Amino acid sequence: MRETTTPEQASRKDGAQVSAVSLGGLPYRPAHAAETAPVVLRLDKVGVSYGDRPAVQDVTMDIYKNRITALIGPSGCGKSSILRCLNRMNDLIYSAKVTGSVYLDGVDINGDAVDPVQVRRHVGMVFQKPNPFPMSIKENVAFGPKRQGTSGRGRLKETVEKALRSAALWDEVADKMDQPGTALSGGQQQRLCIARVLAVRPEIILMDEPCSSLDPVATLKIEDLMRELARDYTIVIVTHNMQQAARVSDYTAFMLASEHGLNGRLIEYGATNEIFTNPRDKRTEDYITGRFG
Amino acid sequence: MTALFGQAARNQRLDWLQKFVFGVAFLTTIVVCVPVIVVAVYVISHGASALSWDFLFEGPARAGREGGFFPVIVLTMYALVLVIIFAVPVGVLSAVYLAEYARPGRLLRLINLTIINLAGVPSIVYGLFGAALFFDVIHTKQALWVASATLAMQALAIVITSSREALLSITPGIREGSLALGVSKLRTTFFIALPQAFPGIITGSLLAVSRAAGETAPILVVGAIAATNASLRPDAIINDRPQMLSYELYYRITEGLGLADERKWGLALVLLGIVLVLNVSALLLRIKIQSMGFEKRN
Repeated sequence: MRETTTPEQASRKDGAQVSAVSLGGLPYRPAHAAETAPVVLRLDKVGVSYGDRPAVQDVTMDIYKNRITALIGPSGCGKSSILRCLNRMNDLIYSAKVTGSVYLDGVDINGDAVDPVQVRRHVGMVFQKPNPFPMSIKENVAFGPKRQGTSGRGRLKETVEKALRSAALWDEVADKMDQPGTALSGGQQQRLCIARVLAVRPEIILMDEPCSSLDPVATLKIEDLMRELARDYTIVIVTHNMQQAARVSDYTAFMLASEHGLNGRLIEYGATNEIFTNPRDKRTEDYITGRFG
Repeated sequence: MTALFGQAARNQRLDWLQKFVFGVAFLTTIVVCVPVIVVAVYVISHGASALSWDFLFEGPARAGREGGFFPVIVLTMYALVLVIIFAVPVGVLSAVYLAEYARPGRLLRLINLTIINLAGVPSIVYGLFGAALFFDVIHTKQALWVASATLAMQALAIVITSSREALLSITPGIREGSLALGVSKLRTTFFIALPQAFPGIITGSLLAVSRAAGETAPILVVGAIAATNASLRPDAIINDRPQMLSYELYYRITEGLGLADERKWGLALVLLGIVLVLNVSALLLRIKIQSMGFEKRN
């Protein structure tokens, strides 16, 4: 690590006093001094490498309950890699190696005694490309609960309807529950995937660029839905769309890599309005004002 | 003007070249189809007159010169069912391991190479190996079972390869989608991956079985070895000789008992028919499953 300017130095662009709590040499401060919500996820020096290439390192941040936290940054900065650490999806990539700790309600989810399958029941995930199962709409939503032992036609039906209502999809699909999920429009498919996650009642929902394959109208619907869902769930979203982060999130983390896919770092993390109106780091400012990325 | 004219002339030349290349491609395709059609027409025209209710559903009389080949047809079906029972579960499970669980690396590459070579082993070698294994090591006398198990070994390669391809070609996001719901890998494999790969698995299995139906060399070896220790019990025909269609056909062609040509061609036609029915049903089943709408991908 031969950096000439540490992030700490770079962040003092205006010489202002930084009231940062320094953790692992990173500029770190409580995302919002007035935050009263409890911390549900704590990332402590989290890093991911693929083979011997460190994709992202030293990410330390707290994620608050019932808040929407956005991870932004140019592509290749490791934001998706970090997101996948939060429900151990990186376990599925053979070359991926995760370092550091992720605490879910105080328990390190990478611990030996922890079953990744259980982690994913608490931390659900919605993917970039809508990926409904090749089954009916009803079966798509019932799939998770069924596999986890919910039985009985009535209870399943209730669970499915509730999930679809929460995902703001019920009115559009109520009369075609037996049609294949793949026959829906892109935006509907994505909301179906959200309903599918809601049906297993996670605490946290991770969204990996959930709108990148959708048109603007469908995107707005998903964003409205996210605000709605934040009442009951904690949401972490990766987005390359800064306007989306600004519109939808409470907290924003800006990440940046030294080169594409290598040595990504958390540059700045804070309340979204502060990040967008008064960034402390020059690089954050450059990014959000569109000077690069 | 000249430039335009020149351009037009060049396009005409290109046009001509294109027509020529695709014309040749079309001709080669036709040439490939011709033997198949000629064989089918020839077998049908020579054998169709032998076909009758008795030919298909009666036992032989006067050493096969009269009557029918019902026992042979039934034994062939029986053997093919055995091939399915022996080859498909093992093959699909191997494919599941290779596609879903095996860690990529040198060992996996070695296993894949072995399986590809499994398909390349000459069938007579399988016959010899099967006969040696089952008659000499396991000491069974059930020739039909031995023939089926031998054919199954050969069918395995096709079942594994096609099932693995089917599993690997399902949309990867779907597997992740299930895992991200907190569904275990085992359940994801059985409830998501296998159902979606099902058409491919069925097609591959049926094609493997249709290959086995027409396979002759391994059965000849098994049959020849079985004949040397065949008993004269009344049930000997079922137990001690792999009396399947291809074997029967070979036996009828080479024996000097003066079976009418028409009856030999009739037998060939029945064999061809079974293979065609298997192939066509593989195709239809695939279309049928796909049209159920659950196969549709975006």
